[in-house]
Amino acid sequence: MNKMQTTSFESASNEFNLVVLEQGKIKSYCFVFTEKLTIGRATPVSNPDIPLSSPIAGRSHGEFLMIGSQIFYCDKGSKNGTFYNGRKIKQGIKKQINPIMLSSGDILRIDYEDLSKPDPRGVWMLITSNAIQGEWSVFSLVNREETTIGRNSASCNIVLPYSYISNKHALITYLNGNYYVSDCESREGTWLNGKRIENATLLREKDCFSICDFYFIFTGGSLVYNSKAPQHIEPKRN
Amino acid sequence: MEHGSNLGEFTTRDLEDKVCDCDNLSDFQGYILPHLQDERSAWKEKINSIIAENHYTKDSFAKLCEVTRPAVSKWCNGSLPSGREHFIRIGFAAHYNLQEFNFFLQRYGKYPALYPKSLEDSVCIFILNSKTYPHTYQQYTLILGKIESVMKNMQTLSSSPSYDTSTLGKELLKVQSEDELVEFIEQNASSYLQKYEKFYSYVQAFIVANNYDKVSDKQYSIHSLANTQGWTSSMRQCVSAIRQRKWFPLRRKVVALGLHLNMTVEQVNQMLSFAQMETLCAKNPVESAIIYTLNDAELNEQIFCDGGNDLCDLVRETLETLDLAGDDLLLKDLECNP
Repeated sequence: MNKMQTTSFESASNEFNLVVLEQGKIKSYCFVFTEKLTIGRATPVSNPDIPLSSPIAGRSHGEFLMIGSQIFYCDKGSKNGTFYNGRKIKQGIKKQINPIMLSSGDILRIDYEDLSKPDPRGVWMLITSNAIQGEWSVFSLVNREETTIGRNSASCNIVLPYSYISNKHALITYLNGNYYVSDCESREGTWLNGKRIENATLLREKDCFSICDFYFIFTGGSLVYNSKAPQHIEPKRN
Repeated sequence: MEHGSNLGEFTTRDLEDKVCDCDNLSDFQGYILPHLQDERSAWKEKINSIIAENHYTKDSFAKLCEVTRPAVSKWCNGSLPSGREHFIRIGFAAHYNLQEFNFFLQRYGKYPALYPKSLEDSVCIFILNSKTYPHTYQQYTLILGKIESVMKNMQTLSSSPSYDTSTLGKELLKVQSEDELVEFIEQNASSYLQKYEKFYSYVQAFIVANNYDKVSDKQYSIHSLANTQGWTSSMRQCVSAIRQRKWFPLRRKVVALGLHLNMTVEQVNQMLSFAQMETLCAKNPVESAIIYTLNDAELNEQIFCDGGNDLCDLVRETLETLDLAGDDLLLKDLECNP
């Protein structure tokens, strides 16, 4: 596996999934089409479909609508609002709800205003069209100057044994109290917050970078990542 | 609001900021409007330049576009062609490449750009991208005729996976022959059947998200909203077609729909983007006035989103006060008789 040529990656478009990270715990929810899912803080009087425990979330914080083959998120006028890919969702004229069409890789966050200093009780959510099979691992970066991610089990700290992952795909370095992620000239690239990484880029709390269908959430000095590849189309052999 | 600026030199984005800076309608009327060129003048300039640059006579141009000479004369005097098909014929006659073609459709016709998920537009894109086929309207209709049988059987081919517009567009550019084109269409039938899917879904999501009746726990459909607000029959037909996912977006109707739904500029622009159209243009007098009115309504919280038509009334009032050329049809679409 390690010696084979890296192949191209093709993602299978399955039903949408929602991954929720809250206070160090991860849960996955699968969207079934033609449904609506509510999300909010669970209390004795509220029973949302996706219950949260964060005090930053409102009881009826938002909802997901499945219309046709599209998924939308609506913030229901919550006090602290919702961030969509780093920007706060604005309400419409006279506080009309603004439905946001979601795509795979989109990130929603429930937090206070300053995302560069996120509250530990904040909620982080990822939309993915790949059926992530619910296995998440935690890799601690503490006391590591470098952490490599790739296909090569002999030289990488985090091994992703799939042909579309490059031998040495990405690198996490520790410098002056900060962690940085960089791409190692991989075939499929490394993506941070929706953009392909060119140079070493600072990782901030709850930043998420992705390598094909693997998502790495940087939190509390660790990487939380899905350790099993979701279903995917058999890669083309060169 | 500063005056004395030469607004003709501003980009559309900067001009939009200036529009939003206007304190009141008088500011907008005095400092912005005089610098904007109306649609007809812009079109008149464009069509005459196309004819001149390509050394056509009105007769030869009329023949190429398969219209009468009087029709070309009317265009040259500022009358806009009726229908997107005319703009397509003119685009071919002007020898535009794909990018220029789309700009022409969107900017002068206010129509959607060539849309890969439309079969007819796919053929157009194929021709414009081809190095072997002549880039003419006649060639386009010839190939369109040949794929008619495929078009009739689309429903039976719909088990293929469906791709987003961008992916489909990129793959379409790799097609090099008629046979490959037929094969491409057959292999991507599902994608073609899902055209304007995002547009329809967005409109529906907006309705569902904002018209939930908390008292009776009953959700409004688009149709019942149209009834409640007393939309014109034309807008109701538009709504019915959207429900059936059969409606071909017309810019004027999309904008009117957004106003009926009390959308912000950003939301109307989102809808226009899903319909493959340009966003509201601050350099167009009517759309500039709409941008001003929506921005003003949002800032001053003048609209009560209780299913009423305040925003439509405000926009109509602004357009009537400014007496802008070319907005009669839009005004009609904004009429409400609850």
